Amino acid sequence: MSASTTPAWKEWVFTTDHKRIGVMYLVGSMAAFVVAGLMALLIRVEQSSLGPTIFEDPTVVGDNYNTWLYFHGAAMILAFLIPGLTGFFANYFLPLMIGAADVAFPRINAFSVWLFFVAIILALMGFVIPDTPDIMWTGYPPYSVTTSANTAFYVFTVHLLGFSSILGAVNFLITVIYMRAPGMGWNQLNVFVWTTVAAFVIQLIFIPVLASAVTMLLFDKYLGTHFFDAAAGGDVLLYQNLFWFYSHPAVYVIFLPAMGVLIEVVAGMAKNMVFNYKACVYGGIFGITLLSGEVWVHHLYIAGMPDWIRVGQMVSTLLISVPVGLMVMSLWGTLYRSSITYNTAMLYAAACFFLVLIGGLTGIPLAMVSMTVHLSETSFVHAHFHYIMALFSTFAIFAGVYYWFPKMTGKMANEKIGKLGFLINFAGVNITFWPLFIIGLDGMPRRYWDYEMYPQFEPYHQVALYGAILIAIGMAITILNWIGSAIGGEKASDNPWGAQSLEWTDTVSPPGAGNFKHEIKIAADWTPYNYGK
Amino acid sequence: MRHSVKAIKWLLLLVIALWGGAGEANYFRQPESNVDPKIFHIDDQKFLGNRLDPNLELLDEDDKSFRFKGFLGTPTILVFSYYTCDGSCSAVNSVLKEMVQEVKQSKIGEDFRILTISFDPNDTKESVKKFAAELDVPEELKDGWTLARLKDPGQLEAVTKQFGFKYFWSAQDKTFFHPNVYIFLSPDGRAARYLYALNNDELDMDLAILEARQGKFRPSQVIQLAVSLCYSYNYEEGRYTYNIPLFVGVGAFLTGIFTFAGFMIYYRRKAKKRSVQG
Amino acid sequence: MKGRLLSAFAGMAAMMSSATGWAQDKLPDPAADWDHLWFEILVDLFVIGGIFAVAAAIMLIKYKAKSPDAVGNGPRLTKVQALAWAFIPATIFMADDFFLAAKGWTLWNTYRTVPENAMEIKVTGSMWNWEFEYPDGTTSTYYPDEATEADKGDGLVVPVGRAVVLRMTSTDVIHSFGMANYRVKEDLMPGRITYIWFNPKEVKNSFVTCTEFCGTNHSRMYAPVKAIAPAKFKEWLKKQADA
Repeated sequence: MSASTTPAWKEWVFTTDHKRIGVMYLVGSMAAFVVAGLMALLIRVEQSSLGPTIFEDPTVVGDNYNTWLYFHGAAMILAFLIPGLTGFFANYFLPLMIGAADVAFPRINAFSVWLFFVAIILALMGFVIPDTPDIMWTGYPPYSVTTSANTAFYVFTVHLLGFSSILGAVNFLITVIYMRAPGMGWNQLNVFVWTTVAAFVIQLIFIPVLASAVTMLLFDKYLGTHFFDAAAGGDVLLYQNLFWFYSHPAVYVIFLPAMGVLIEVVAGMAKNMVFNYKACVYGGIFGITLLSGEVWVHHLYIAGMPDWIRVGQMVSTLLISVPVGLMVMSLWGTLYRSSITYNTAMLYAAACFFLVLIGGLTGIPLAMVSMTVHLSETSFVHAHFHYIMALFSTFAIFAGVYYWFPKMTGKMANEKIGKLGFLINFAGVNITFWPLFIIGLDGMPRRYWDYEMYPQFEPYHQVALYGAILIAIGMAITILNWIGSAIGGEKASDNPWGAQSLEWTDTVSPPGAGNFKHEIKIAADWTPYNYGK
Repeated sequence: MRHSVKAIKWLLLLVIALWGGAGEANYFRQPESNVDPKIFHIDDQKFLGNRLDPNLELLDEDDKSFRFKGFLGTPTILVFSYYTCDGSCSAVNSVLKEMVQEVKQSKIGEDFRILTISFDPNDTKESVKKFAAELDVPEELKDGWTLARLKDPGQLEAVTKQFGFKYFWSAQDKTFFHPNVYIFLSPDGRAARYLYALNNDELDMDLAILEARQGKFRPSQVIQLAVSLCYSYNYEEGRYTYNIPLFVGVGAFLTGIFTFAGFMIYYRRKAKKRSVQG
Repeated sequence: MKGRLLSAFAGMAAMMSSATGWAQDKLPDPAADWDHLWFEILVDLFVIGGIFAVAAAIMLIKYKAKSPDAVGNGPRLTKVQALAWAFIPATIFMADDFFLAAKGWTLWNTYRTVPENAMEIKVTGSMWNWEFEYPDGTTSTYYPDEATEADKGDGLVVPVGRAVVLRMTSTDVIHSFGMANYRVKEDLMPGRITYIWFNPKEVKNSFVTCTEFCGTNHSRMYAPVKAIAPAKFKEWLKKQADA
């Protein structure tokens, strides 16, 4: 790098280095996170008092509360969580963990990240075009077809992100199959590598279904077809089926790598081997992947589906708790007889133990069709999936970023500011989402800007707003800490935590082009968690 | 068999065309020009979900009294008709007879039944008998097909009205004017779908019965279930059409897998070439 | 959550007493059954969650590194131990799943089995209000933005003590009929008929809210649900029919 005379911007724009592409994914997804986070703050403010709060009339198209909801959901899931986990973490660390110099198709990899950036720009343009989209990230017809809002940007964003993800999936699966370091067996892979493989398998199989569904939506709206128009032979419910056929597995595209990152952080900071690795991989990760395609109807429990399919999918949805339980057992077991060093990364990881419990357990009543009959589409659901996706997964991402910060930047992140940010974030998320569980149980519907019929919920919304403000402060501290430490942090050694995984033991911080200075040979008894032998 | 259905239909259409009122002719038997065809149009979406009273008392061909309750549990094709055949018989039953024999996915008597109810208060045991002989239902259909009358003809208006069924007697033509409609009742006796003798064929019959079963399939009837998913009802055309998004979705399901296979083959070839050169 | 837990306990006690009075009150009450099952699930979740939370808390404190160089020495599992640690928890989770599924299915059957002689009311949802049609053809609506009570309308009025089944459809987009008080909810779609039933067992005013996003006025698509004495209901229906 140092000998090169090409200007720095050119090195980044034309790069095919998986690490730089990973960093670009991180920057893009964090940008989406910040904008979508601001939307969340606006939503909280609007809900904090009865009647219109920010705007005179939030129902007017253009000044639209519904646009914030749409953008918040779509951007957080499609542009932050999925690209953050399968774009950034996978790109940067998967080749390092398997001892590969790069991915199988570096140029396709570069193409993927640029598709992702175009998609984010397209999504952001949603704010400036006339008739901003107001269809929620789910985009259910007939509303999404009959609305005057512009939905084409949403559809094209999904196309680009989908295409980017499929290319990424193909690339990484082939990388893992063919480019592992000589001698590295399947049982010697990091758990994170396994979770990423599972996530990419899910992406590869299910994303085209989502893409086809939104394409038909586009045709219905702009070309006058009747795919989802009940009056003309279309099927109203089929869109929802196709949508959730991808979008429920998408939850595991987020959950699995988040769990993988978490296990890496815990194993590294607690300096312990992963408990019952094979049960975690072959029971947990494989089990979730297999079951992920048979549970989507729980999103349609109250949509008039035939009773037999509702009851059948209640059972399959509940059974998801078995493989998830096995992963949880491994996560908990990894703490047993460990030796934990507490830094910011480990604090975030420790918080995840409790967040995943709350998020996971509140999912159990929601898996039951007879419970969902009351809870569906209330704040309870809203709080439940935020505990899994927004709190658990985001905290896992933050734990991962802090954990690998020295590796990526060659600098140590500021611990004091990091811990302060963590405390504010942890307080904020719990203050925001507990009130929503409570009013959700009493029937507060989701996606409302006004709740004239339930004035008794106003204090809860106010508390939630205070929490949201804390989150905003915590996030600002965290992100500024990363930027500041990357520029002016203390110099980091190659393996500051004393972890045993390849990216720590065999590369410098940050790793240069080609990743490894010497050829990697894996011994038969090596594992990425070789502690205490 | 199919030909005879077609033949009857064409004949009816021809008759209508000759009478001149071809506008909404598709749906209705309309032998007279001064009858507004619109009065026979049933706005089916308004009546879907309405229920035939399970305690409704009926009389069968042998004048034996029974209640509709006995039909619950499987779908029923409900036909409103009359049995007196002065001049022309009601064609709605004979078309049904031909079509039902072509129904493949469901078995009459087992998976569904037919209930014809007379809306003519003057029908008697004798007229039913005569009509049954005229209709000549084949042996395999007989068990599943009941020609019935209301025990209390005073209930007629209430029973027909709740399904939007309108009819009247034309003294001039000595015949009834009425929609030639088949009402598919779900296993709990509620209107699930409306089809018409002239607009629909045996495929629609097949699908309407599958739809009326409302997800009640035995494990061995997976194929029937799959067939029922491939189509959806088109209110605009009044018939079943392909559920295209389902096929698109299934097709899309395979593209990712094929993309992966393609790239894998490409990579292996490249790797092989590299090792040969090296 | 503590308050909720306590109220759930109180609800449980009420359930016990009402369970003995089951015979006199023949009409099933899905809302009460919901509360009952919710309490059972809550206990289940608190037991599982409690065990895991306490275990995590203890280990996170107890295994704090004694020195910077110390490493963990987690147990190396033999084959049998590894299998046991997979199959025993899996069996426990699965047993709990099937237990909950069975409970859920029972309640689901209550929700889907409409009692005989239930009063049928047709519900039509459209952007953005509800219309209710009674068996005699009388209709009722609710417009929250009108100035006077009379202009607003009465919403859904039902007599106490009789099951009410709603046959629902939509004229435009998907809506969802959510009655939090009666613990029931189902979508309305154009071209399809869906149904729910509920048991208005006591005189009470509550609300139905639209719970499927249906456009700009989604949050204002609501109507009161008034359960009133049967005699008063007759009076109301007559007045409404005349109007």
